[in-house]
Amino acid sequence: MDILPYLLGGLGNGALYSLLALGFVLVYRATSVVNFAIGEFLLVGAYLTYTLSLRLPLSLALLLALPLAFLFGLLVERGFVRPLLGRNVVAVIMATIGLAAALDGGVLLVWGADLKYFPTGLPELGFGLGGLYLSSRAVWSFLLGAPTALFLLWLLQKSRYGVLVRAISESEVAALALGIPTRRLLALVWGLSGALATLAGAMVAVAGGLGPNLVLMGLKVFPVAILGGLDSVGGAVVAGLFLGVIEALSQRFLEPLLPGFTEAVPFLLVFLVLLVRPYGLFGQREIERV
Amino acid sequence: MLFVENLKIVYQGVILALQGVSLRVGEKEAVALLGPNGAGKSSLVRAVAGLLPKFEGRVLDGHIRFSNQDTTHAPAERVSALGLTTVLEGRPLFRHLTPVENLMAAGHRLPARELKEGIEEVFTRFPRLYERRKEQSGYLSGGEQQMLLLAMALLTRPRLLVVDEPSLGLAPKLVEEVMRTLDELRREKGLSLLLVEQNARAALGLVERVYVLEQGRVVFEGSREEAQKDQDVMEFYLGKEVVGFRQAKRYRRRKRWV
Amino acid sequence: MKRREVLKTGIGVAAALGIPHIAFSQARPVKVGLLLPLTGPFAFAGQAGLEGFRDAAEYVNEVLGGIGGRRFELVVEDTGYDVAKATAAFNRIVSRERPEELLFVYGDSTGTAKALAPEVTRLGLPFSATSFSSELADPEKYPTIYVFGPTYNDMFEALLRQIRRTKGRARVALVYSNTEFGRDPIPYAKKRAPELKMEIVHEEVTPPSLTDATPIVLNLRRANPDFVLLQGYALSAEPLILRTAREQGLKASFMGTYYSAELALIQRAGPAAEGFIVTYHNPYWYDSLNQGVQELRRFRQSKGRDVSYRTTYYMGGAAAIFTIAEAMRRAAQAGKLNRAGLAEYLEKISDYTAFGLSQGYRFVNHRLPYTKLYRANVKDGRFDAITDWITLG
Repeated sequence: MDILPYLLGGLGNGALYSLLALGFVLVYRATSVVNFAIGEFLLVGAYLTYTLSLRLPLSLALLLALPLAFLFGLLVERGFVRPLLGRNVVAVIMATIGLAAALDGGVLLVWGADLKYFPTGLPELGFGLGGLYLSSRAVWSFLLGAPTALFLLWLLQKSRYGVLVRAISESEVAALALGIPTRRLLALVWGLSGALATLAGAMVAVAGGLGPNLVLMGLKVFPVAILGGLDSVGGAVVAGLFLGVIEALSQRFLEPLLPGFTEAVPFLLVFLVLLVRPYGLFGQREIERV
Repeated sequence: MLFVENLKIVYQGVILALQGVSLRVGEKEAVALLGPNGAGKSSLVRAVAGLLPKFEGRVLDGHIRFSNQDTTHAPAERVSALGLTTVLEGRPLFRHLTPVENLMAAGHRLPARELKEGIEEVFTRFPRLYERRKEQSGYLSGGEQQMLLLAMALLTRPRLLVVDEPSLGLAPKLVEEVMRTLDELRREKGLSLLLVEQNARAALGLVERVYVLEQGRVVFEGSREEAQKDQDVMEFYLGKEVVGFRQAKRYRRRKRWV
Repeated sequence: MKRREVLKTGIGVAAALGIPHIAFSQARPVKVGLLLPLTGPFAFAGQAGLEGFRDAAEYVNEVLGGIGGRRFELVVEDTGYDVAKATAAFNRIVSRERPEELLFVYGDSTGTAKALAPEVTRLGLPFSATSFSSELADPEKYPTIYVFGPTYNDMFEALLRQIRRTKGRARVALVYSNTEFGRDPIPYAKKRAPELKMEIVHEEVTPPSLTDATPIVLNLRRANPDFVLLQGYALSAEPLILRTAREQGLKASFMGTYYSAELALIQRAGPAAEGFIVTYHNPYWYDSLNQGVQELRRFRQSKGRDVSYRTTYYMGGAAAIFTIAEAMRRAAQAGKLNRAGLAEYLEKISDYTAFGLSQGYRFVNHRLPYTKLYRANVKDGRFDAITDWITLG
């Protein structure tokens, strides 16, 4: 029974991982680009929210930060991805690595290296039930994360826009032949990626403070995305939650025995799962006609 | 409607695929483009569709005019918006998407109601597609896939349809069916058609005029009747002249157009 | 013609601007190498400390006239709190600077200090670090390494004694970062606790900076300690841990060591910081009666710099520079201004207090085992001393 608070906290963290991974997987699925700068999207978005929160109430700051982050994503696509159009996708991946380094430095330059704290937090929604306790941050993560994830799933699976994005990611040439404006649509995906990362980053930063080390959370994206199958949006959501729970359980049971082990858990998990299911838990098998 | 003048296409800067090709397709006209593998037919299709850059190709010289506009270097999006829809070779469907989703993608320019009506129309005409509308398209049979592609092409409301080797890999009976459907659709909607094929026999039934492409050049241009009478076309593409094996080894009638 | 005019004017201007330098530059400067974490998880401490180092260095040159006519200079490199980077920076500095000029190197972490210790000893280079690791305070093994304060073992001793004074048979939890910095005093604590009749009921290892302290506090709640000791963070995790503990209703007293004694902790942890006990061995900027604080204030004012609160990392840095400079001055007077001479005079500097910024430099095994305990007072927004100087060795 005492597992429950860990599980709930883990799910809360997992919701944030899912959000972040969704942004990553969307981009990968639509464009085959591994966005190594996803941690920096998180970072820049969180810092943007912070700066806005110095002048505006937190909820307004967040509302304003999201479209700004969307624009940022569009800018990245226009500035870094589009010029490398038609080149090997590895070139674009290298560009994102370079972008990551540049953004790291840029953030340090603009905001400095010290930890910053938001002037106000989100309204306290944490509560205790008997001996259990669910932190405010976990509650907010669910509240914001769940509808967002569901919205994105609907967007991708059911909406017309989603069909087009999936079509483009399947075969850009076929899409172009039908006159689909591929570049424009893909830019929107990058924008979404930025906004999602900002949401996740802001949630973490509001609760725990903001520093350049926040980018480390971006590293968790890779195990989550790979676990869920790099091109499965639903998989990213499930894998994020799953990882959050596993981490929490590891913290509870393994940490006392092997201090520091929890940090390695995400990657170990990926390794184990890939042994059994090489496409990740929900990855697509290739359809080949023989 | 479509004018191709002296088109020269080069791949990766060095490989010359078309060496000055001219052709035209008029309003409501159906034209066939025949030729063997490697003749340059697909290059022409890509050029006309605005897709050359995706294949690392470039128009070196010449012009393409569609609907009174110069589309030589126009991007695919613009060409399609002007009313030229291309069905590429190899059945380029969105394989992991269902037929419904494929149709939705094709009808991306249509307002919601028109799209819905259009999809209903498709399913009325192709009941087999309707039955399998929720499966992934990659699992449809070759013939069904080709039908789906034609349906998708229609949803783009084209004025000129360019179809590249629709018969490839299909059994003869299916080829017949696909060609018949194509013919019906064309007449119904009053479209122009540029049909690119290796299978000349199947193609000739639909069209009014014929071009033959070989090694990047047009080697024959004429009406269907002229093509059916022409000895070279007959032998090399329609297999009418049967030369005994022994004789074939020793003597082949020289092609007149080299 | 015109070019010559410009050239002459240029030389004249350069000379005019350079005159203050001429006075110094006749002799070689004396240099102190600084390897600081200007980026990374402890960047806050590194940057704040750098300001203290710089102010003190300027003070030494302008108010104290340098070291025997030689200019006192700092050579600064960023380490990102990464041992590999720090080692590379160290090698760069040592190979670039002359041995007659580079007389002291100040490192950034326990890990770096331990890594560099053999080389530093081989070069006979006096060395200290922003680390209070007990392993460094070893005059036989590392004759030129000095710890400018109590070691973490000493600090833990002070805290454990405080626990014993407060409650008998106490339940104690240890929460520390997985760095050399975090791990350093833990073996000592585990050995000492049973001797002081207290029980270590839980041990938790974390990364040096956290985004979420919920599982840690959940684990602590299960262990139900009376006291929780935090080690290995420089405000990178303590505020979050304290706030999460308060949210979850964990009733334990939290304690920390030198690097948690910074006022910003109270600002960042808010009410959750109340009662947090720390060890600290320099004055706070708000201890206005302290001579060193007054000197620094006055100096900054004369330069038109902000005289609002300066952090504990600033104070520590300033104290260190003053001390090094004083030892250099004494060595220069004796005509021994070189690495060996500096080491010799650092040993003997016991009466110096860096204008009261330190309790004195009576090294015991190359460390200064004296500290005070402070408790966080959220209402007044400061740390109040709850003991006088405690001697720990």
